[in-house]
Amino acid sequence: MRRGACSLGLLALWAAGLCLPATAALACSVCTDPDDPRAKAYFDMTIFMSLFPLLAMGIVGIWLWRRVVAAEAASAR
Amino acid sequence: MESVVRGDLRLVHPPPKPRQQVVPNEVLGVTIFILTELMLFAGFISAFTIAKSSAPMWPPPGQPRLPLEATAINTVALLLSGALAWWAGRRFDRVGPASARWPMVATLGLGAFFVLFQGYEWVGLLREGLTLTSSNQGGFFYLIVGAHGLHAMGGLTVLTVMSVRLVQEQLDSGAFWAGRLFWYFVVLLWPVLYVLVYR
Repeated sequence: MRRGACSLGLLALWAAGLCLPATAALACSVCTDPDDPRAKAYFDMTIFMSLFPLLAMGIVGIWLWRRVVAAEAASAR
Repeated sequence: MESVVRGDLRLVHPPPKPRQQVVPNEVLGVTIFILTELMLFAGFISAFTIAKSSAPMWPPPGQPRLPLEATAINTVALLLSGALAWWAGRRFDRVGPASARWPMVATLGLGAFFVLFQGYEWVGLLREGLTLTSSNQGGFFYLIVGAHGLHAMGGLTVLTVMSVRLVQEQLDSGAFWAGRLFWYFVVLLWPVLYVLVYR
């Protein structure tokens, strides 16, 4: 009984979440105006600053991993 | 073969394998340093791109045009210096340290030419009115190109020390690799900054 009530409560919460979708936050002045010339620059630089460190660390990680594999292969010989 | 007797059991441990160094410590240290410096320049590039896109006119009114053509020659000199550093590394590994001397000296010479030419260019731009506070363009130009110039001067110091140690036959392979790695960073970063800032 108590478990059923808990499930019903969660279901109601989920339904409320669907009925009350989040509205766009207006914190950033350029995000809301697609015609603003800065919007593309902000978007591009957000992507760049998000992906660039991952790419740089990934390249170094792959390089180190390949060197480890080569060293292991050399020591196995 | 090391053995330890415990009660009835006789545990036999094979001797530990000698640890093989995958990457010299100097190279790993410089790689991590380069990663942090890359993020510094990524931040500069990001801020510059947004500032440039926010400006109604670029270059801002009353500001001089950056010397695109003259700097192209300087860019070629720096790229050539990077290629010579790479060749010096190959000769060091394949022929011997003595054979890497003259490519290293040529690398140093071209690197010094790049920094001196930049200084000459800056004097001209300052005379034309492009200062750190004259406009957004001036501020970003001296910040980004200046930060790269400081790295180039640091790289030149490293190249000088390496060249002296190479002549004295005291340069080991790991230190040489690490020094060249930093110079490659200085060389390969420049074309990106040149295209972004001077264009």
